[in-house]
Amino acid sequence: MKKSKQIIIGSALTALILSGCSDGTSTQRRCVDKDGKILADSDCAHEEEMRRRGYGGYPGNWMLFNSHYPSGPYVAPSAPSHNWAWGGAVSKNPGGTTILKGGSSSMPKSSGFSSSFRGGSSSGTSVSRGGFGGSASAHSGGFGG
Amino acid sequence: MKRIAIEQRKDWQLRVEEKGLLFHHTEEGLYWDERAYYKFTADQIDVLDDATNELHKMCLAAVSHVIEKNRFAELGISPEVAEVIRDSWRREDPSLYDRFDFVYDGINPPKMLEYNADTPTGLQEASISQWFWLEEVFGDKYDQFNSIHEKLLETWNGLRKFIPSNKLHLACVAEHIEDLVTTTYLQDTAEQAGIEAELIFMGDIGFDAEQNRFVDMKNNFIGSLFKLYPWEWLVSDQFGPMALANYKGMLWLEPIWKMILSNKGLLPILWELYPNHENLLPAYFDGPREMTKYVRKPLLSREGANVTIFDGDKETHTPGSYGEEGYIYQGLAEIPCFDGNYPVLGCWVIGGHSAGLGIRESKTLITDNFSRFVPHLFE
Repeated sequence: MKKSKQIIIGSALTALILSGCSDGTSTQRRCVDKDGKILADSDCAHEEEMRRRGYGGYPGNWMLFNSHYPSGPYVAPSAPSHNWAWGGAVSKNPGGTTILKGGSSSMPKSSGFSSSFRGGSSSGTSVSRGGFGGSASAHSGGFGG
Repeated sequence: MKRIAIEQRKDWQLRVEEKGLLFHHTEEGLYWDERAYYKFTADQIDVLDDATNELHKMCLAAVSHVIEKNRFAELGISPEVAEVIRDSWRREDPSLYDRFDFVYDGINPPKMLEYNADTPTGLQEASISQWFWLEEVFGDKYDQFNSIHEKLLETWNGLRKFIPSNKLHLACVAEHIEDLVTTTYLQDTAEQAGIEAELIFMGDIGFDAEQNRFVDMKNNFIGSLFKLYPWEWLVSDQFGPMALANYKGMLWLEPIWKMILSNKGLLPILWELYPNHENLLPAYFDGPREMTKYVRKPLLSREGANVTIFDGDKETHTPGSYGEEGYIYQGLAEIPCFDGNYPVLGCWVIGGHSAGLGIRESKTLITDNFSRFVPHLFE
């Protein structure tokens, strides 16, 4: 049962961990106020430091990410106040949005995907999106009782 | 099996965040809770390990039974979807992971509450967070029922031959941190196994009507898709018919035959096939029958939603939006109470093999969305 090797956290999870307000790249900050307005770097840095020192956060805090995701940054119009990335308490409520769309830290990979299966790429002119997940709140798994 | 109170690590929030657990709180308080841990003996862990492996085999036999006897209607599965499930099962479409939920007191045999076989979450905390907790708090003194990470790497490696061009997309909904962490962790392990893996949100998946293919954000075709998104939602969405029509042309993880395992209708079918099995609770489709203490569960409920407990004169109900699809009735498990806490044991199956344990505990008999994850160890 003893683990034979150490767990290595790879680049994907590391990127997610680092992708919050505290990524150190001011242009990547995504600290927003209750109206969804992106705050000035100085305000963001101040709150970030406060959160670092205090930790724990408030219930309902928001986890925000930078703009690595292909669809770019997106700010939810309903984002509440005190919506800080690093260390905040994050809602697990399926009805309460906690991550803003476009919030993945995953860097877009090469566009050179060419599948030998039925591969290649689409011209995009006949592509529609939003056909999955539109009506469902995010949730899965669960320990039922 | 004991619940032992312990002091939290001084900087525990930082510790767990550094390893990827970004959601250590819920709206109601702690999610990651290291103010206590569960301690098992090696024999008790063996009991859980054996039960997990045996039940997994029984569940696969139940899938075969449902298909052979055409019992889809009892599970609320339409004939159109059933046909795709049959094909998927016949082709032996591979699977990645599953999680049993058990009630266990360390003395009596563990009882299966259900099988989360389509979209199990809570993976990172079971695999990584609690392992580093053990190392940091106890060093080498104790062990943990946990080979999840290693088995994920092995299983991804075995799945490579099914993944066209070694390119995998992983999808989850955008609004949920728990789902994003689980999906990113799986992306991470897939990449460590040598697979080119890319994250996409469910709502960003495109469909190219001319090519009749699903595409990513760059309009590259999706040949393999891990989706942390229930099949019953997926087939009901606007793109559902396209998913069914394209099922054979892609690798889907989890495969669509998992709809049988993740359906609560699995429970009465298991009880029919294996009556009085020591790891099963009585369960029926048509009502509680002889049971006076039982739980009514919707066929498709998640996170304890729309569950009603009938305990003699008492009735406890949880809210939710499930139930239209029908219910099953399962004997009420006697969840042991440790200092006012009710633990449910999540036993992981990775690549078809028992792989580890994650425990969530609640203040009530129903483990829900706000239940706390509590680490464990054994000696």
